Amino acid sequence: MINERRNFLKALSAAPLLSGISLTTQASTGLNQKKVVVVGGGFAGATAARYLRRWSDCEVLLIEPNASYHSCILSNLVLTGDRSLDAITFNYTNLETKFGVKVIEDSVSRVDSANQIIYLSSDTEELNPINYDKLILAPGVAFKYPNWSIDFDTIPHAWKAGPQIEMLKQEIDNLADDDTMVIRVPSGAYRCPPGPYERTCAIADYLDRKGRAVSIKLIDPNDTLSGANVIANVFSGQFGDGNRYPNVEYIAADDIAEISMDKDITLNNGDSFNAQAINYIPDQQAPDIVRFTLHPDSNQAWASVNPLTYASTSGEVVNAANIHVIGDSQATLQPKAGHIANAEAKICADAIIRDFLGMAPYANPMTNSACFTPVNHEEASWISAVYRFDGNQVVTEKVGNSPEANMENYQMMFDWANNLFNDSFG
Amino acid sequence: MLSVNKPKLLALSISALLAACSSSGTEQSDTTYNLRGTVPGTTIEAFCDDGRYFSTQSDHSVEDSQHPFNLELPIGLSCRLVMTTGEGADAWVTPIGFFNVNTSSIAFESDDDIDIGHVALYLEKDPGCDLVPAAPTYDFNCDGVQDLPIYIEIDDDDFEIITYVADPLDDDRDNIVDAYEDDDDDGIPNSKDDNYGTDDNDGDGIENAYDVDDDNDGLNDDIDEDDDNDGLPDDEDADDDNDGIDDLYDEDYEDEEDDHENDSAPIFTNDEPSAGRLLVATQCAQCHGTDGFSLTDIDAIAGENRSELLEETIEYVHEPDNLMGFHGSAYLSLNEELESIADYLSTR
Repeated sequence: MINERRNFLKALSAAPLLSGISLTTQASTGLNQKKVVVVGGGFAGATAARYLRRWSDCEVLLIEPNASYHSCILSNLVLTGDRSLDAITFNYTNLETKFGVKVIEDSVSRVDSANQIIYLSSDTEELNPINYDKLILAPGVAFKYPNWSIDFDTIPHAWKAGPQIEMLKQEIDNLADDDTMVIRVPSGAYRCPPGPYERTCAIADYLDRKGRAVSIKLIDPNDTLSGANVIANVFSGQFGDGNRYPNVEYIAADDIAEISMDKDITLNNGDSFNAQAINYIPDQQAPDIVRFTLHPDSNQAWASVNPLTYASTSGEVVNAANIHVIGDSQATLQPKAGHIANAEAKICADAIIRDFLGMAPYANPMTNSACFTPVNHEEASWISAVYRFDGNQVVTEKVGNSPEANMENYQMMFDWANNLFNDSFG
Repeated sequence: MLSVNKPKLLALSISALLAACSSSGTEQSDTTYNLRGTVPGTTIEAFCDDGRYFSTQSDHSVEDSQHPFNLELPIGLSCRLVMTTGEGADAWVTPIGFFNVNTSSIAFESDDDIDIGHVALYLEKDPGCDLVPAAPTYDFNCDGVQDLPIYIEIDDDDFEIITYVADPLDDDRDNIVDAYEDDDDDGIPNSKDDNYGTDDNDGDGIENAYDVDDDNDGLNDDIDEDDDNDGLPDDEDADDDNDGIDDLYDEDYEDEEDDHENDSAPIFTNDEPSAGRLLVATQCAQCHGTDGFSLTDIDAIAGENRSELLEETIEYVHEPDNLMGFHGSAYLSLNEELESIADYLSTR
């Protein structure tokens, strides 16, 4: 009944005082015959490639269709001109030259999971199979089109940074007094849960600063701001009469039924009005390469994974072995965002290296989803959640937000983002 | 890992706090229980929620015994045990904690007599603290108080292990009761320390500006987090030794590598996969930089002293408005994970 457990003080010995020796030479884990193919170079994919090479000498091939990546984090500040697009754009030079990642500018057309082979989109004849020991799918999100016609070249989603952000900025800059702007929040799981509300604040604040009297309608199928949650805590007091942005009307539990060529908007409840600028953020799901490869027989939007390794747990294909899914495409309850995608990538990279070395995955992985979110051009709040594995699934350990938006958080937002950017792409 | 049921834990803490409040304002019950055990040549002290203090000595007069003790404590009162061997400069203090399958804590109460068995303390101060340089094994700040409690497993329905959200007798939640806290690490608890907060923090007769170990913690200042004790951590302090010369131009002060102000993480590592390596990567690196090598105004935590890391994380719990305070409190019940993180960071 009574035992004594000496805290592992003796085992620790004096090790903490013997300073770690910085190694600048290649890691030598004896894994140079192992090959990992990473599909997608966002926060998840870039971090996985970077840490696989930091922690081992396995071969890493990163396949990404774009020469550079535009961060969604801080992208609302590009809309308002507070930050340039260049400042949130990263290329893959560091991964190539410092870490020895092989980067191919292409996309993957097909995965032959039974034979552990992928084909590149440019290889239309499938003459150049690329084999893998492990495949990491990190392609982010794809958009689900509504059942009415929409053209994102005229009505921007601006939910992947880059040209779409510049297009939306143009629309905002063209707004005149008494104009109306509409922002639509996606229903279902989507990238960056606070993002649409942060964006609404950023745009409203920007128009205030320009002295433009514009009505903004924020249409939210989810009614998030009326609930008890961290997003409501941060944003519900910002909009409507008596608040900082009285010109923002929050329209909850409704959705856009249609948008005409002349930007006449009809809601499900029958209301209709004309808008001069529209940001329609569509519903989202994992891209085809994930769903077609791992969940071909169902309409499952996101890939089921084992949170210890992020290996696919698809029961729909004969052989999903050695395929991992990280970041926005996977289906755990963790939010879809860059900070936590970076953490998932490391759990996956560590599990792959351990598997190559004949070790079991770490049994108690944790992640967190900290983010700073600006509510105007000088104040920000933070939202965070800590997640852990309970033996079966990812569970939430704790969720919270800053009690107020302030200038200190606004400054720390850049310190956070720059360390995160460097930890992923630097 | 300690398996902790959060809602239950919270309920426990609140009821314990309520119990503490009510008991302080009302007549104490005279009903007591006996806490027994054996431990060689030791003073056993109990610090309790209502401010009461109890102590006894283990009995070395009984031949061939393992020095039994019997401490009489009030039933239903939450207390914490501390054991001390030696006296004066040789005093060696060991906090005692308890654990069962659900939880662990230094605070406990009991409804009936309890035998905690034989407690195998380190009987004297960490010998590594007398070496130059210091190489402690169980008292990293060499303050004469063991950094972590000895945990004793007690699985008994009458014995309740109490986990506090905020322990009134352990403000910084480092499992060392406030009475034995030593904030300047000079080996004297704050309450008895005349030198704390002066120009010679450790009272060794050498002014801080000329002392290679300002706080006498056995760590030369070049691996200490706040060398001049000016309240400004070295990695935010442009003048770590307070001599008025910017560190960049100060030839008298070897601080090139002490604070990672301008360092970045090594590209490659050759470590085996470990819990610490992964947890630092998933929980710390996004804000504090790869392996804790921050490139921004957020604190660099690479190479920071292990016990300071643990203490600072726990201290942040008192700042719930701070993002790190939020994270610190999320990790409170995850001792093993926190220690793995501190082990890894301290060896960067």
